[in-house]
This record gives sequence, structure tokens and C-alpha cells, in this order.
Amino acid sequence: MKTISFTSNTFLMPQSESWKILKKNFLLKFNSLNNFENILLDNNSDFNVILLTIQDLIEYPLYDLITKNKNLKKKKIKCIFDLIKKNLAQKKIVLIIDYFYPTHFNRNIKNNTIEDYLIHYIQNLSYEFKNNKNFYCLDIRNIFFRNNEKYDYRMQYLTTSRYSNSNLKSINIIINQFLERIYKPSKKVIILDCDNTLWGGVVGELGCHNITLGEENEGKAYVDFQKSLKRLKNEGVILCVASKNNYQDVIEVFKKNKNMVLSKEDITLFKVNWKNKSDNIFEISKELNLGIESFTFFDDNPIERDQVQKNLKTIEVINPDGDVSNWATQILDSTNLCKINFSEEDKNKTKHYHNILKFKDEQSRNSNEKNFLMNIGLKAKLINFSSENKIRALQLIQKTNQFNLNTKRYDEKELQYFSEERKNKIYLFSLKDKYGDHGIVGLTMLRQKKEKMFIENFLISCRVLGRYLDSWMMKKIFTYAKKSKCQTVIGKYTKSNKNDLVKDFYTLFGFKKSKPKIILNKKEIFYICDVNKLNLTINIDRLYK
Amino acid sequence: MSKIINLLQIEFNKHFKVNLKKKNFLNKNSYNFNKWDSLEHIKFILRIEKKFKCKFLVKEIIESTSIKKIIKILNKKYM
Repeated sequence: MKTISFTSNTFLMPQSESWKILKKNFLLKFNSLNNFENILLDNNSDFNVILLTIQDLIEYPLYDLITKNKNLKKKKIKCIFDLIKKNLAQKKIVLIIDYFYPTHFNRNIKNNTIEDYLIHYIQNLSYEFKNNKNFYCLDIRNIFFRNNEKYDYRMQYLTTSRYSNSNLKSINIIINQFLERIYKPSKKVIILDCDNTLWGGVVGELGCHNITLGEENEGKAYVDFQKSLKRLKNEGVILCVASKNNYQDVIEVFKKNKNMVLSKEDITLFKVNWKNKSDNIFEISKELNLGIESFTFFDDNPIERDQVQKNLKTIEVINPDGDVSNWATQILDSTNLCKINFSEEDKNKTKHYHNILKFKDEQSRNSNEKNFLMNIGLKAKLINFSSENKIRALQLIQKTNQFNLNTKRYDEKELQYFSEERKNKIYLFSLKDKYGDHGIVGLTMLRQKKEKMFIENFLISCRVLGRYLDSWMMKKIFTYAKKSKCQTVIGKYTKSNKNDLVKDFYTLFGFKKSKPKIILNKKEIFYICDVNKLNLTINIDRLYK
Repeated sequence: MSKIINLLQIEFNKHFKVNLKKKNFLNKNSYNFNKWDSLEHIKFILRIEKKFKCKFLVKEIIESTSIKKIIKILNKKYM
């Protein structure tokens, strides 16, 4: 169970029932009021949440302070921000700032912008570490606003707490959503419908220019929904369309309707025909080489949703709100889709998948597989693990399902710990070919113990399967093993629900199976191979020049 | 009047996790009942507010330190 520690300058009422939501999944630890120094000493928490209500941190009269042009330098806030800055290297810090004005500030007329000055000052401070990967900032006012909640000003005068129970509940929800986004494996694909989902009305009846989409009324809502989708696409989610329609009609909308935010290139796969939707989705999963469990289905029609859920049990089906105007936020609120950390590679993901499909298409047309592979200019590169590629390495570990021999999900701390051991090695592999730069797609973690080299982890992203990258990686591992004077290389296979594909992976390379061991309810099978007896079925050097 | 008392008694027993009879319950105040401290007081009042769908003034919250006073305030609100 993950631990979260809370520090705040307001009393958070730890015993209150409002903390129920978080207490279900996490261990909560409440530091005493204003004890910000405690964050320094606390080494056990996975996250440090700092909640600041700014009104209590500023000493009044503020007005004097600003008119006399004094700096806020030595004030409390500055000290807290300095503390945060010091801690950011080792600790994950979630900052929640509440800018609500004290009652004697509450005027509807803004004059002389004392408030503005204050907010500007705080934003500047937090802007400094905006790009730090251990720093997160949550917007509390947005959720209060959306839940239609007001501050209970009585609480200011009665208690040291600034929040009522329902306020605390909202805070719970926002933190819970945030943590879910970090710890849950995220979905990779959204399957979309066309009519009444991407636009209003039926394109087959209305024609591509008369559908509800654009600058007016309901049309605006559909545009915003598409903007949300586009944003998700840029964060690395793949968009696919499965719709019962004429293919020509749908493509015409994408090409000719000027109000469309999504272009044809944003959609990885179109399955527009009159077939069953679940069949279409199954085909998409086969073509993209991704399991159904990483799919999300969005459709306005409840009958279709039921049918898809019934036939494909592991798919996530979103029940859209009855009103289109809520869809844009609803899809962004879905914790499975929106990630918090995304790497450069995510931005080009759709392009990558376009390339995969092209690769597959050309591969199926060529009868001689090896000749075909030799002509596409494969180039692989071995990269040492460093802080720059840490996010990508973590992503691979968290998300790869099929070509993953151990399916052990290391988190950031564990990975860092592993890499710091002297005899351990983490290698990353990137791949380039005619179809584009695939980026980092392979990872292996090696541990040396005397004269044995253990392969602790071996995985390849499924989008580059069929290129014999595994053989190339294995060759590199053996060269490294020889270099460090090992006699044997030992591989390990742990069965999971999804990695049947690599069941006999090690035997293909001439490893010999030893007796299975059962560790923590998981069956682990060890494979042993002599360092000089690697058996490669193809001539790797001719493929990878 | 009796309806308010009954409802309040149920809420009181639930909140402080006790099982008091009516006569005993009516005598309670923050001095003779240990569990009733300042924090629980606020929480209890907020609970009553939710149940009775009304709002206490700050002054009323501070004053209502016994069951009898709470009943008096509630009565005033429903008259």
C-alpha cells in the first residue's frame, strides 16, 4: 500500500468521514499543522501532499506591504517554497494551493489589484519548478467550481480548519483521481463512433456539410469534444473509428468539412462498414497487436454499448452523459485515459502506428520474409539507462503486456534502486528503419552474481514485433556476459495472463529448461545457457547492418 | 417538538456511537459528556445541519453546547 503524507497550514480533520475515499486505497499520514520541515525527515511516504491556504500565510495589512514596495522575501510563503525546492530532488511533492480570499478581501470590484499581485507572486514561485518531474500542482478551485461548492466561511471563525466536510470530500476526489492516473495502467486506444458522437446527425442522410458541427449551439459542443480527443491523441492515445456507415461518406466528412478538428491522419484505423461492432473492434486489436483490455469504447448508442460489453468482456465502455455539452470534460476526467507523465515518444505514437500498418501491409505482400526485412534498413542501437530516458523506461515496464517475460512492474524508486547497484545493468534498445524512427522499444535488466548473469527483465514493445529485435538484444546480452567473464546466462519466465506469446522464448535461443519454482504464488521457470552456446536461428548481422 | 427530539436523539447516538435513553440524553452537554469535545462539536452540528436542512449562525454554533440549547435553536428555526 502506498503512503501519502499531508502537510498543511489548515486543519484537515483527519478523523472526518470525508477521507474515506482515499483511505480505501492508500495509507494516510497527517503531519501536524504548519510542520513543513517534517517533509525533509520523512522518507517513507510515496507522495507528500502540501495544501496551502494562502490567506493565512500572508501577514496583514498587505496593503502597506505593497504600497511601500517591500518584498515578500522573508515571508512565510517564501520559506515554504524554499523547502519544497530543497526536497524536490528526492521526493514527490503534490502542491495544492487555495487562493481564496479572506472575507475582508471579498469585493466584486477589483481595484489596484492587491489580489492579483498576490496570485501573480505565487504563480511565479511555482512556475520555477514547473518542469520538475517530481512536482505536481493540482487545481482545487476548478473542482470546487465544478461541484458547485461554496466555502463555508463559518469554518474560518469556528475552527482552524478552512474546509467543510463537502469541501474535504472534493479534495479527496481530486487527489484520488490524480493518484489513480499515476498508478493504474492506462488505456491505449479509444474506439469512437461517428454519427451523434463525433458529430451530430446522420451523415448518410444529411450529407457531409449539413451535419451538426461548427460554430453554433450544439455543433460547438461536438467541436470541443473533438478538441479533447485531439489532446488525448497528442498525449499518446490511439484513436480508431468503428462505425456503421458508408466508408465514402465518413471519409468525405474528414476531408471536406472545415469544422472537423480531427483530421484523417489523427485516426489510426477506420472500420466503417455494416458489420458487428465487436467484430470490428476485435479486428482492430489484431491489426494493432494490442489486447482488448487496453481499449476504451465510446458510443452514444446504449444498444451498441451493451453488445460490445457483452462480447468483449475486458473492454472499458464509457457511458456518455446524456448531454453533449459534458462530453469534452467527461472524456478528460476518465482516469484511465489521461496520463500525467508523457514522453516525447507519445506525441508521435499515431504516426508510429500508421507505420506499423504500412509495414504489415507490405510484409504480407512479400513472400520472402528475410529478404523483405533485409531491404528495409533496420538499425538498432544500444542505450545505457540514464535519467533522460527514465520516463520511457518506466513506461515500457508499466505498459508492455505481450512481449514481457516477467511482467514485473517496477516503480520509479525500485528502478532507481536497481540501477544504482554496482553489478546491475539496465539496457535500452532503440530501433530505426525505413518506416521511421521507432524510438526506444526494448528494455532488459541484467544482474550479475559471481559467474552467472541473470536476465531479470526482458521486454519489447509490441509495435516492432516481427523484426528479430529480440535476437539482436540477446546477442548484445551475451557479448556483455562474456565481457564481464560470466559462464552462464540464466533467463526467467513468469507466466501472466497476457504473455503466452513468449512461452518458449528462451528455448528458441538454445536455453535449457530447469525445474520451475513457485515464488509468491507465481510460477517461475528458469532457463540456463552456456555463454558460448547461443543459438541464433538467423544471421542477425545481415539484418542489422 | 417531539419529532425533533426523536430525530436528534438518533443522530446523537449515531454520531457519538452510544445508546442513550431519552431522559439521559436530554441532560447531556459538553461538560458532562466526555466525547463531546470542540472538534466533535463542530462535526456534530454540521451533521445536524445536513439532517435538518438548516443552517446555524456562528453565534448559535458557539452557544449550542447542550442538547437542550440545540433543541431550542432547532425549534426556533421550524416555528
